Amino acid sequence: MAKSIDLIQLYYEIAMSIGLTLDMNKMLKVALTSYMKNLSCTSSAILHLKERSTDTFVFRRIYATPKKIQENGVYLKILDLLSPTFNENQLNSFKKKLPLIGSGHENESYHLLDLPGFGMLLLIRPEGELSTQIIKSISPLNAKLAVACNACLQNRELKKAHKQAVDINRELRQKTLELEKSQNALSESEKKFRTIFENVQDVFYQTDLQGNILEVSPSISRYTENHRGNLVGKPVTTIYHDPMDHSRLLQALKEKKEIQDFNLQLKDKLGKQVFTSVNAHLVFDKYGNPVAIEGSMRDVTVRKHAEEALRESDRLKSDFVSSVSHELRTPLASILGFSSTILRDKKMTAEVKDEFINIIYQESQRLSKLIEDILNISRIESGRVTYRMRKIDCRPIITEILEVHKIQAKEKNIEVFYKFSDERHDISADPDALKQVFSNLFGNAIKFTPENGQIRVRLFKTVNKVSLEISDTGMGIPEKEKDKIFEKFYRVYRPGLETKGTGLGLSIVKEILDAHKAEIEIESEENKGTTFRVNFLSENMEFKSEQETDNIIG
Amino acid sequence: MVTLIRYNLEQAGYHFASVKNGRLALEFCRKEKPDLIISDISMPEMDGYELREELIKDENFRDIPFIFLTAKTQTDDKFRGIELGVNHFLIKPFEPELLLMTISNILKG
Repeated sequence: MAKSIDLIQLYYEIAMSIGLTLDMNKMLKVALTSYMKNLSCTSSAILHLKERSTDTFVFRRIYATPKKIQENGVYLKILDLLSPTFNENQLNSFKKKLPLIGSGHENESYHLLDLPGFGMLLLIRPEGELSTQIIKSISPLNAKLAVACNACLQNRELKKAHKQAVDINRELRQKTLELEKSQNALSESEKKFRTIFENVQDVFYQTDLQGNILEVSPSISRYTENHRGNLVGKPVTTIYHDPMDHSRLLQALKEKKEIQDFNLQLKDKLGKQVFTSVNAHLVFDKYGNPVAIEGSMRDVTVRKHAEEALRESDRLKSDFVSSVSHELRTPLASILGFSSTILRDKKMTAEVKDEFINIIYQESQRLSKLIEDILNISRIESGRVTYRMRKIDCRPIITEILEVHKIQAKEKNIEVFYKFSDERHDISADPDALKQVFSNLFGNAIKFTPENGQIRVRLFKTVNKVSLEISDTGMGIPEKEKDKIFEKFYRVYRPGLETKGTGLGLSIVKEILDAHKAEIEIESEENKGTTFRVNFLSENMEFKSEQETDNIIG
Repeated sequence: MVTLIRYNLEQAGYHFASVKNGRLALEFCRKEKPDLIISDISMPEMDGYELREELIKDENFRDIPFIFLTAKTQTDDKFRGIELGVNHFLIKPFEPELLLMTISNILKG
């Protein structure tokens, strides 16, 4: 059936379809339908010529109709023909062959036409080939179609770009929002951190591994004269007391990654040590390498002092226990030894036995006095003694003690002088405690004065004090022992002197006087003599006992 | 203490002499070499350890048997007697009998 080829109709329809839309598929559908209808074709296809890269061209099929064309042998052959990559020369020589017209099997004809600037148009007819004339006539149409295809292609690219732009824009907006949110969060967190950082009392700091300060909290100025401003960037040895401390810290961190309670001393404003306790850890970069040290420092000077005081106190306690134990064993050894000897030795004479029993008796007494003194001083020191302060006249007490020691003094032929004025000088004191003080001092005077010596006792008043003075012509106290004599169990060793005392007498005196807020002064010259002077606050002065004072404050 | 030891030793038949501190002990040794020395540790001027150190220096006195008497206990400084080559020591208070036995063992061996 020879359908008449209506070229005018074709022109008209193509013109319409070209201007119809920029949508490639839609446009081609309409256009090719027209081509096929008006040229009596059953199948058609459009191939796009693309430049892949420099001097490399390929054909890409972008449209084909109907579906059945996929099975058409001619179609497949043409595709085959156009499948390889062409370089420019090959392309040009191929184009020279166009239009490529031929017949397939069963009279089917194919026409491969150039779409200049775009690619190829393939038309397949069941009947014979189209005439050369018709081919020539539709050549301007093909050119128009080519232009339209390019326009559609461009539009497609544009649309794609536009969509991309929209997408990017949306994404950008989203990211911006997220950024704002996280910036806000950061700003909040920064504010919080800054508040803590500015106000913390501990010191937060950061150094690099070489020991340069990267950051330090303002609180550092509490400890050293340096302010944060002039420390950042400086080596940490500026504030460390011991320059080796940084490497010590680094070493410890290398072993343990984070450490607690590391002792580190800073230099304070006067160059003195400030004891701190440091908690620190290493900071790592994303590769796991240590890059910095971060830590916090706390002033533990008070704690250190307390610890030292505690250690000292423990040491003193254990020293005391040792001394007491030692002191008690010595008389005990004598008592045990002598009594054992008496019991064993049946042949002992009565004389010797008496002598030994006497020694046992004396040592027992000594032991008894010792135990009493020890208990006394323990009680005083632990604050379990309460003094009953009374306004007292010292004179009768002094006289009593002198009387008690009279025999002792006489044995050594020591003369005792005492003179009191008729005026009363009262002091506020516990009478028993006062007796103890005076007894110990006077007893010492007798002990340390050789035979035929002198002791003088005076009681007098100065501006606001009442002083009791005991002077002797004894062996004197060397300068370096003047402080030691008040230590517990301290006894002087002198050739010829029997150390019969407990060594606690002056300790007890000191404790009592401290509780009475009285001072003691010593003047002494070796081999010449010693004067002990005790100064009490006069009763006319304001002096309330400990308990009363507490009540007022409480 | 000296009286106690003197009595017990003289009763047991030993010839006994005593001095008041380490320095005097050294002087005594130089005048009259003893067969055995019994010494306290804490003494004025020269204590028991110092005395022993001085004696070791002199080959005449190095081998004189030496007994320490001490009231020191474990809570005190480490007893240095062993370092100074003194294996015999008695802790106060002690039975005089124990001292006598120690002495007779030393002098026999």
